Amino acid sequence: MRRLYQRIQRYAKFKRPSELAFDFTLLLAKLPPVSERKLKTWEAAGLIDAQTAARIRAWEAENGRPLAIWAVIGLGALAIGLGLISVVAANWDAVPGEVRLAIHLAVLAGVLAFMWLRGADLTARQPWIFEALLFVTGVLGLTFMAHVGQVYQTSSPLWQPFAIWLLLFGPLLFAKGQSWLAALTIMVGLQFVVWGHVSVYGSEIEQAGRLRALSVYLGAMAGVPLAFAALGAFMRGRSERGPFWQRIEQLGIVYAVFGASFAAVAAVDRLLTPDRFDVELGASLVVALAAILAAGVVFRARQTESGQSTAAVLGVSALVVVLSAIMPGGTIVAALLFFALWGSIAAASLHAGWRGVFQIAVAILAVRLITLSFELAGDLLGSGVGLIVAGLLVIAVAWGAVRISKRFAPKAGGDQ
Amino acid sequence: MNRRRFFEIAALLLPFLGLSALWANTHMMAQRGILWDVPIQGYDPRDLLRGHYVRYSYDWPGLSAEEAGQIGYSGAALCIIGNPPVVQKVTIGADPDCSHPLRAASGTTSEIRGLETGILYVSQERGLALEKKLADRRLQGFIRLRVRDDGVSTPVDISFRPRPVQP
Repeated sequence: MRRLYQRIQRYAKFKRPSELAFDFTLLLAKLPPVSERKLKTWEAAGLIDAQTAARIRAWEAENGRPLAIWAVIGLGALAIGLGLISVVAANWDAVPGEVRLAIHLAVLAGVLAFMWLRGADLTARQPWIFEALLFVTGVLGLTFMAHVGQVYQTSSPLWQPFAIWLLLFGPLLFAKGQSWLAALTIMVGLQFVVWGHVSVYGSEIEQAGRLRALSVYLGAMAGVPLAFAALGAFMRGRSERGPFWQRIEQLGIVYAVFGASFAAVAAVDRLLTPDRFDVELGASLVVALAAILAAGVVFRARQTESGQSTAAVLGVSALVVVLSAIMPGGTIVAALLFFALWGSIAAASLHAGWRGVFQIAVAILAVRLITLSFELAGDLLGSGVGLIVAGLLVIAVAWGAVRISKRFAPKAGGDQ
Repeated sequence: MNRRRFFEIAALLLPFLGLSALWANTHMMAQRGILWDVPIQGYDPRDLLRGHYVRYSYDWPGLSAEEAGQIGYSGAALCIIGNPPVVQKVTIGADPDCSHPLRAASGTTSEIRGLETGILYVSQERGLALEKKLADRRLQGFIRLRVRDDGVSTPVDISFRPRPVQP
């Protein structure tokens, strides 16, 4: 063990962090998806014969897309993206601005040309490398706009470059995306456009006193990302890139659930003036309408148990957002709304057979139950007895959650 | 060529063409406008450099301290009076007869492109040198602004002149 440690230290001494990261990537990329050791153990134990083992190896080599590779490729792509940003930010004096911009654009053109020439080949054999390339292309485009701003000393509200970026690179990402990296890139870009726009124009409309317009505007902007759920559900069955559209749909659902959870948590306090109350209620109704429309599309497009559950989660999210705006504030109300939301998600998971989602929902419910108990009895941590009670409660809830998770969770493999 | 192939080429060409057009447009817009030298101060000696740009605050000639406090909002406007690039004085407010109007960029963070403060992107080395000079009380810094007819301004460079010795 000690010798191994020394060897690693000696090895690490001569390598820069970037080289280490590269080696690590290669190492992980070489790891077989099903551990070779496991296969050998099973073979030795007589569970499978040599032929079966060979067939598993061949199949895995052909079809396996291990999570580790996706994660590492994602990290690598992210590192390249951050590197590009910092190279641009360095703003060297030595090279004239126009030359720097020309080099930047030439690199982008090179990557695009490479995708054009080798794209079909690459998507078939190494989809994750293509995906990373797609992400890097997107970052090159975004940093180009920052670069132009730097060279010409111009500036604009943040949502504008992101909107232009979405218009220019959205078609490429939607048309060529393979998995979650491309899907997440589009979603993050869209979030910047939506909330950047709101941060500029929301206050402008409010200052003009047009409160009805403000509520429609806020609700509509918050509802835009929900289109992902509908779009993903619609395209999943119609495209050969099913996994990509599945991720798009999932991101839309995650956005809806995240928003509804936020609304439920925020229902604790009602410090709003009557004017603000109307704005919030109006915005909630508009965004709920968007969620219900998305739910309708999902329900129609995917007539499976998974589709029904997805539509139901969207519907419940809409309901929780509206209820959060209507109900009088308070600790209990906020907690009940939260429980209703995540309880429904757990129920939907049981219906559709989503094992992971069910377990996450149970865990979140347990954490909320624990925080609720502290909210209701704030002095629980103040005394020795209180601490003991709190500790017992936490353990009991955790135990209960684990039991429920194990006992009732549907078997893995449900179509999400 | 089938439709699918066409869309593929279009999706690949769009980013390149779009960004090229954006650059060309910015380049053309950057040539327009009149150059003015506006006296500035280092905004905050402890926080002059954040990343690779210099922050400064304008010292508008002809504005009282009270007036100077009223131009911090987005959409604020000034009128420059003088012989370019020398700013004789400025008056506050959007005057329709003003021949050299200047306005804060709407929607942009006011500390970046407002009328009170601004930033100039420079390299790190240059930024450090500028920071030192801006803190020097014997020198008066000037920002050269390129002001377009519609009142939009972009900073061009910072220069220094000796400050007149005060008795």
